[in-house]
Order: sequence, then structure tokens, then C-alpha cells
Amino acid sequence: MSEKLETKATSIIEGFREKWTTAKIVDLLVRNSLLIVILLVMVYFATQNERFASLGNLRAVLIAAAPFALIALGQTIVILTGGIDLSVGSVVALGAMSAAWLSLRLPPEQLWLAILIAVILGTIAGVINGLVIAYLDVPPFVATLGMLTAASGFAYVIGGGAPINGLPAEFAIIANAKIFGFQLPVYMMLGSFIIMALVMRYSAFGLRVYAVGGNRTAAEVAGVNAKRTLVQVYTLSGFFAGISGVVLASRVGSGPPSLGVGYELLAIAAVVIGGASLMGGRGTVWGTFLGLIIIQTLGNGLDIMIVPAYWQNVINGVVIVSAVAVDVWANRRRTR
Amino acid sequence: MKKWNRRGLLLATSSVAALVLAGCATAAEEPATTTSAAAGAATECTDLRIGVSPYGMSSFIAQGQEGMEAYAEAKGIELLWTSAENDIATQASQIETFINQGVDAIIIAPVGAETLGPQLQAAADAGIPVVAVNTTLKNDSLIISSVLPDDVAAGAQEMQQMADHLGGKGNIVILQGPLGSSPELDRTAGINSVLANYPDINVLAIETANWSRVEAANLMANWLTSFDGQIDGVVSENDDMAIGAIQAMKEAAISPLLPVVGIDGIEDGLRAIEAGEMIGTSLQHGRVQLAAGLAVAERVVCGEMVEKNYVYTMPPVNADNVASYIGNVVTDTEGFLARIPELIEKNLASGDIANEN
Amino acid sequence: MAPVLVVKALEKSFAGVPVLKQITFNVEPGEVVALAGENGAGKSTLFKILTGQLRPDRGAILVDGQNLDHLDTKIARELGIGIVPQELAPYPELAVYENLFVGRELKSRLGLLKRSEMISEAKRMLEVFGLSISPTAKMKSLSTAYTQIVEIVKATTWGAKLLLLDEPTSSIPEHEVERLHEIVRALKGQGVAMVYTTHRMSEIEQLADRVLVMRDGMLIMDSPAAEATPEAVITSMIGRDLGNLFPSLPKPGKNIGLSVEDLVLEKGGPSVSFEVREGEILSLGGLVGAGRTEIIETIYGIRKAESGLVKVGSQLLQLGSPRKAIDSGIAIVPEDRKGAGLILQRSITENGGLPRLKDYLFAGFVRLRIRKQAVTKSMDKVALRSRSLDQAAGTLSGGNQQKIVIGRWLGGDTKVLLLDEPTRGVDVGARGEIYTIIRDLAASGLSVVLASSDTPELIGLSHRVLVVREGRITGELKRDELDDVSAQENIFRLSSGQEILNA
Repeated sequence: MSEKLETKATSIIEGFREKWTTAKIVDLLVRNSLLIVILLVMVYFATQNERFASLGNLRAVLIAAAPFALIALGQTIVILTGGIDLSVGSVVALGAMSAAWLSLRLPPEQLWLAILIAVILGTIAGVINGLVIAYLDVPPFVATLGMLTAASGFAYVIGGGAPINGLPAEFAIIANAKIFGFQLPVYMMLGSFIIMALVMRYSAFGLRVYAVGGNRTAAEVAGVNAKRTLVQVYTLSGFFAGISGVVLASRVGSGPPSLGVGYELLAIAAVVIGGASLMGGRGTVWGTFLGLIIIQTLGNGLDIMIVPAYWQNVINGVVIVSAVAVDVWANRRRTR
Repeated sequence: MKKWNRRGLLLATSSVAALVLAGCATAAEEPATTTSAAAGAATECTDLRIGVSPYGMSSFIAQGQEGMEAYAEAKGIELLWTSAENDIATQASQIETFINQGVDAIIIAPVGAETLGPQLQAAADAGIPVVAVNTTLKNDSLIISSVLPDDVAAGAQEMQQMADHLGGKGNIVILQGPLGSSPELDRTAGINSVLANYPDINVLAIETANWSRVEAANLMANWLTSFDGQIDGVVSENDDMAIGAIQAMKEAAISPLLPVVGIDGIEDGLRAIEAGEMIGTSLQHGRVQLAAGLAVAERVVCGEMVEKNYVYTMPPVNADNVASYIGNVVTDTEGFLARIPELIEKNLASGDIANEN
Repeated sequence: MAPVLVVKALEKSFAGVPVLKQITFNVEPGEVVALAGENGAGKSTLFKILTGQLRPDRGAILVDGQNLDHLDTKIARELGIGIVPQELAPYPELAVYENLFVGRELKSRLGLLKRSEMISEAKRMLEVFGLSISPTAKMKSLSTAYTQIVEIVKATTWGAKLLLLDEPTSSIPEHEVERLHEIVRALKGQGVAMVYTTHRMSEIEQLADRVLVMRDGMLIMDSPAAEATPEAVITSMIGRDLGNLFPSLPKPGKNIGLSVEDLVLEKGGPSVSFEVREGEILSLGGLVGAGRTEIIETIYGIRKAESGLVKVGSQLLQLGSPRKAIDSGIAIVPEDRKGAGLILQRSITENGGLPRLKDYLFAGFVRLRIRKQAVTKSMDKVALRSRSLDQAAGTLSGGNQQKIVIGRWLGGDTKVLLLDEPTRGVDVGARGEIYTIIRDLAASGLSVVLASSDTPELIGLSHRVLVVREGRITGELKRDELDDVSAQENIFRLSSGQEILNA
């Protein structure tokens, strides 16, 4: 009887060994290297301070990440077409400033109007970007750089150069309303990511984005309206930036025109770390999510460990470059 | 061929558009008369043009702008405003622009304490006096006069407010301004001078949030996690960051809120004291301080004698006296601004720059 | 005399999959070795190892008797091993002469570039090949064929001892091929050894001293050219007997499927007019650069036309929009398969379903099962060989990629099929299948327009041939004229502006 059991066990183990050869396991690890780096970093922080792994900390990380997440999402779609959107930082400021300005002049029941208009402004900025890039053939770098300065200028004009303070308490609801203990923007972030992931994978729009980014000529030959697709992606980016601005202004009750400076670089970093190619055609929403997590986790963990700001920058740089280097090495290994 | 035509057209249109916009922008500011003052002292004292270059447009500076404009209007002075956005290079080129425009005087709030040497030399060579307001340079030999807040005293004051509130012992965290800026250096020095007297007060963490509410909120949130339950008070070097810290505490559902002190007495800060969210601040009324700076600059151009330094000593604000300041700073600013020209004259004469009565 | 190259028991695997198995052969100085094999047989990998781009897992390489442990690109170059790759990689923004001299610029003693000398030297090098390309023209202004020619010029003039040519003549039309052959013979006389891959049997017969055939990573045949008959070579390549390459032609219908009337591509340019019946295969012959691609691209809408009309059946086609062309039933297999054909990172299913994407949508989302069904059917019709339809298009061989480009139009109401050099760089086995597909499509009623530089293809596959020269049609050969022995000659004459010989 036990002999039968023995042979059965051996055959199971053998079957296991056949399926999971060392080479295959290594391959699996290498392909998910980014996720593994994140987990290692998290484990490290958790050992350094037990409150790192607490619910309260999770809450703090998520609410801090939410505005960046939205911008990074928009940036992902843009980068997938081989483009780039440098204007998101200023569009965030534009959204924040216009929402703040309007909130001071509208009665509380009409605050939704302030939000709507702010988001529309952000979307318009995106549409302009898209039209200039798609129909005037201006390189995305240049076009969005122009929008960066223009939108920033508008943000300053709205406030007369200064931040708009003293926002009504009702405005703060957006960023502070809690559902099951987590704030509204957190759900916005998660919801947007899930929806966009599905859209990119399963919708015609998603495929067209990958097609235009992967080989624009071939896509056009196959009948894809590349110009329309480009306008759509930049519009989306502007839309997300506008929402992000509203969320940020709501969180701190003020609309500073200098908000958002440098955010576009952070967004691009998250996208690139997540494995997207700046040439277009390669990358995923999930990848950006991972890139975002690693940046936010690092910042959060290092703060908790009371590491001074300048050291944090150094560490950020090292970890990010290493994560990307591992990813590049992993890819090359598969094709060499 | 077609591609070139389109590019050329785009270039031409955008250049024309840019020129038109520039024309519109400057047209709006075209003054009725333009007298460029040559040498400083014995010039005409009317229709002055003064360039203003603050480090950035914080809530404080924005307030100050109101005060300066009120004074300027009463005296017929034209103010040219810029904002350096905390960038040293930007400020340097802005000053150079002022010199080229031949302004009568330049008022600066420098970004960095050890900068602008060459630019000030150039201004001196061109006979343009420079007055510093709110922040100054370490080497102030080329600065004719300055109206400066006593940041050291303010730092000491807020630390004292916290120490008194905590009864001389407890754990605190400190939110600083941009490291290396003169307000940060002075306020930190002031805080430390008072801390020396309270060995039972423990500083758990001290870090910069760059005057930003969002940064302060994120930093405070992480500190709350890191020092779960150990923090007894928050000392913030300005009100904006204090408000950010309060936001973080609200998000973490900390109730009652930990005591917070700030500096500046901006509108939201005074409101916070009114609402009991902040325990104290030190009033730095931008309208008063910057208008004083303008008044000093005017006197220099008109050849009057001025002191080398005017000190703005910040009055403490807490729950007891906040009501008396809210009027001037928040609710009845129109009325206050109307009094500014007269108030400033009075203050310069008496030497009590921060007085508001 | 010692062999220039000795390869012993070479092995290479990628991610556990063996690509080269026990390759052993020699090459003598001045020997011309033809390397034949289907795509995926391992020829490119072998070349990459010989030039140091890849390292073999096992085996030895001896160059001039020297055993080499480490062969890298620098050492390979120093030893005189040069390659003209199939995937050309010139510098498009630089001039022709700059491309020729990159890496070995002529410099004065101060280190400054001696441009005028480089230009005249470049002109001389090009003239040796009988080429009138301007040395100062930008590289990107040259067509694919001429780019390849310049690459060959480049490699042959820095004194290589062993030249590896990867499909050098695949994009060069017939008569220019002869010129290249002259160069090969000249180099042979200088003692330069050459290994080149080709799909053209005629080339093997004309040039090679020896023939190597690879299949599935192994060396199947290694014999002197005299003993290697085309049949034997083909059989070794594909492992089975191949019947006649060209299928029998179907009878065309009566109705006109496509009519082009007075189509003018550029202002002041010539106009083109022709008609294609349903079920007819009309080929456009001519030299490289004659303007056939431009005509096809204009019909499809990638290029804008100056004037003229195109009708599909009796319906007028709105020019200038590929979308409209697709909706009217026109399909295209473009010349530049990688550039304009497929999105290599996406799967076969996604590429296959792209032109008709609208048909598979529901509320903007793709109905995966329906698309998969449609694509599976069309890919079966072209006998696509792949592990699964979800693999990336870029992982397939050239021939299979081409099948996707053709197959994706099947199953819809395609009425007109435009093909531009459909079998360029495609191996013999897949070529036959593609011809059969084209024939079957015509038989089902499509009007087919085929542009090709491969004369046997023109003769074997078309009902009619129109010869294009400098954008205008210079002549037409009907089926009976094509059957005549003088057809090849006549096509060539029409291509170059000469009078044709009468039968």
C-alpha cells in the first residue's frame, strides 16, 4: 500500500520538476522583477518600523498617491503612442486654481459646477495639445512644452499671481469624504486604473493606441485614423490632470499656482519604470501602477524612517535606475 | 514642398501672435508719462517707477502686494511686479531687466541669502538704489535700507508659545521652510534658542516642507505613522505648512487635534486659530511690512535720510486676541488698506513698524 | 592554401531552443559559396556568429588557421570578415558618401574631414558599379534597392577577405543583378571569399562554386555547384518535393472590377489608365523606382492624387483615405512589410483583425471570440504556420508575416487586391503557397494588381503585364506574348525605354 503511495508521490514531484525547471523559475522571477523589487522594499520597511504595515499608513500612502496616479495614467496612454505630455503639471495647477476661484464665488449647492468647469478646462488643454500634435505635426515634446508654459501662465493669471486661499469647507468634501475608511480620491484612483486597464486591453480604442504607437504607418494603412487617436489620448491626459488638480486643491483647501511643478517627470518616471517604451507601442497600465507604487512606497517608507529629504532623492534615484536596469537586462536576456 | 509651406505658415502665424500678445500685455501697463530717473538723490519725487522682485508669490507676498499697491496709488508710484518662483537665476535676470528699464529704485525679497552680488553692483553703478524687504542678503553693503521681520524673535516666540502650552515637556516635530533660505535659518535659530531652555522637550523630527501645504500634509501623515501616538505638538515655521499638518491629522482622524503653532498670520491661519485648530501664530502682516518697504524706497529716491534697518517685530496671536486682528487682515481689508498710507508714515516715524493702530 | 574560414561543430540555442546544430564547413579563398535555406533555417544566426554579434554555445571557428575563442565585432572586422545584412541599417539623415565612409573617414593631419576627397572617392566607387547615384544625396532619399546597393558598395571596398551577403539581390531587379554578379566575379578574382544567401536558383547556377543548404539548423547539403541541381537544392531546403511553382491561372470574368482613369500623381506628371476585370491578375513590371509603388499607394489612398478617378466596380472611390478604400473593398499588401504592414509587437490576432476592427466591436469593446473566429479562418486559408495566434507578429518568419498581411483581408468583401513585391525576401516554400493564395483570390472574383521586379513571377502569375517607366505605362504584354520566349527580354526593354522585339 505504501509503495503505491510512494510511487504516486514521486510521479507528482517529477511532474512538478518537469514543469518548473530551474530555468523556468528564473525566467518567471526575472519577468516580474519589478514586482519583486517592490515586495522586497516593502518587507524592508516593515522590518524597520512596524507601523509601516498599518492600515493608517496605507491610507496615508494612497491619498498622497491618488493625484499622481491619475496623471500617470494619462501619461501612460500618451507614451504608448510614442508621445509625451510635459504639460500635466501646469494643467494640474490650472485645474486647482480654477476650481478654487470658482468655489469662492459659487454657492455651496453649485460647487459641482466649479469642479466640472475645472475638469473641462483641463480637458480643453488636452484637446489643444492633441490637435496641435496630430494636425499640425508639431512634435509632442515641443507642443506640450508650450502648453506647460501657457497653462502655468493661466493658472497665475487666475489668482493674480498668488494662491487662492480660504476655500469653503464644502469644497474639502471631495478629498476628505470617506467611504469604508478610505477617501474618495483613493476610489477614483483605483477605479480609473481598473477601467483604463480594461479599456486598453479589450477595446478598439486600446488596440488603436498600441497600433499607432507600435507602427503608425502600418496602422494607417490598415485604416486606423491615427490623428483622431492622438487627439483622444492627449485629451484623456488633460482630463486626468484637471481632476487631479481639483483633488489636490480640495485636500489642502487652497489653490497654489505653483502646484504640480515637476509632477510630469514623476508621472513619466512611473510609466517608464513600469516597463513602457518611450518609443511607443509597449507598456501596460498595470506596469505604471507598479512604477507608481514603488515611487510612493519609497517616499513613504523613507519618511517614516526619518531619512532627510536630500538622502531620499539619492536613494530614489538609485532604486529607480536599478529597477529599470534589471528590467532592461531581463528583456535582453530573452532575445539574445 | 507642401510640408515646408505648412511649417512656414505656422511659424509666421505664431510669431505674429506672440508679438500681438506681447503688445497687448505691455500696452495695458503703458504709463501716462515716462520719466526715467538718472542719478538717485536729487531727482523729481513724482511719478516714480519702482521694480519689485520678491522670491515668489506666497500668500504672504500676495497680501503684501495689496498693501504696496494701496500705498503706491496714494503716492502716484508705478510698481513693476515680477516673481522669481524661488529660483536664484530667475531673480538675477529680473533685476537686470529692471536696471535696463531704468527704474528709479528696486525692492527685492531675495531668494537666497548669498546671491545677487553682481546684479546689485550693476544697480549701484546705474545709480539705482536697492531696498530689501522681508528677506535680505548676508552681505548687505549694497542694500541701502531694509525692512525685515525679526524671524529669530518669531521663531523663539512660536517655540515659547508651544513650550508654554505643553507645560515645558513633551515631544514635538518641526516643519521647516526651504533649507538655507534666510527666514528658515533665522526661525530655526530662534526655535533652537528657546528649546535650549527646555531639556524636557524632545524633538522627534525636523524636516523641510518648503512652505507647501501639500508637502507638509504628506510629511505629517508619514510622521504620524512613524511616531504613532508619541507626538505632542507641531511647530511649523509658517502657517501654510501648519494648515497642511492639520489636514494630515484630520485625515488620520486624530481627535482632538494636536497643538500646532505657526508664523505669518495669514487669513487661513487666523481662521484656524479662531476655530481652535491652531493654538498660536505670529502676525506678519504683509500689507504693513511691504508697504513700509515701499515707503522707505520712496524716501531714498526723494533724497531723505533713512535708517539702515527697520525691524518688523511680529506680535503674537492666540485665541485671546485673534479677533482684534481678523478685521485688519481678513474681514475689513478695504478699510484697512485705506488707512495704510497714513499708518506707514506714522510707523516709520515712531519706529514701530508692525503697529496697526 | 589554408581555408579562409573553418567552422567546426557550431551550436547555438536561444532560451533553450536550438537554432544551430553541429554546423561544419570550410570556405577557401576566392570561393563563392551559396547558402540556401528557408527562413528560420538558421542562416542569419550563422552570419551573426561569424561576424561576432552573437557567441556560439559550442564549436570552433578558425579564420586563416587561427583558432578564435573570442570573436567580437571588432576582431571580426580586423580579420577581414564583412557583412552586408538583409536588414539594412544605413544612416538616413547622412549623405551617401558619409554613409560609405563612416568609421574610416579621410582626415587631414589636423583631424579635419576631407570632404571633397571623400565625395570624389565615393563617386568613383559608385561608378565602378555603374551607378549614377549622387554621393551627396541624403541616404533616406534612396529606395530600398539602392540603399542595399550602397551597402554592398560599402562592404566591398574596405578590403574584406570574407564577405557575407545576406540576400543581397532580394530587392534588386533582374538586370541590375547582373551588375552585382560582375562585382562578385571581380572580387572572386581578387581572392575574396564570399558566402551569400539567396532564394534565386538562377543565381546559384550562375555564381556559386559550392552550395550549402541548411534546414532546421542543420547543414543538409554541401556540394560543388555543378552537382547541385535546382531540384536537389529545393528538395534539401524544404525536405520534400516541390511541384511546379506557379499554379495554373483561372479564367477572368467579364465585369470590370477596378478601373483607373487618367490618374495623375503629381502636378504636371504623367497620367495612368488601366482596367482590371474580376478574376484577372494584372502585373506591373518595371525597374526599381519606375513608379509602380506610387501608383498602388495612390489608388489605396496613402498618397494624394492630383487628379483622375478610380472606380471599384461601378462605384466611384474617394481618393486619399485608406479608410474609404478599405470600406470600398480594396486591400493592400505594401512593399515595406515591416514599415507599413504589421505592428510587430502585437499578436497575430490583433494584426489580422485590424483592418476590419469595426466589424467585431460592441460598444467600443472588441468581441474577442468573434474576432478570433474570423482571424482563425482567414489564417487557415493562407496556411499560416505559428504556435498560436496570440504570439507576437514579430516572432514569425518573413514568409509567415507576409501571409498575415495578405490573409487579413480575406473573409470580407474585398473586391480589389493590391500587392507590392509580395514575395520579396520570402523563401521558396512559402512563395509557392503565396502564389496559390493569390491565384485562389483571383479565382473567387477579385481584381488583382501585382507589382513585382521578379520577372519569372510576372511571367508565371499574370494574365497581363503592364510595364511602367518613370510613372507612365510604356507597354503591355498579353498572356500569349508572355508565353513567348522573348517575354523576359521584352519586359526588360520596355522597362528601360527601348523598343520591343517582335515575336
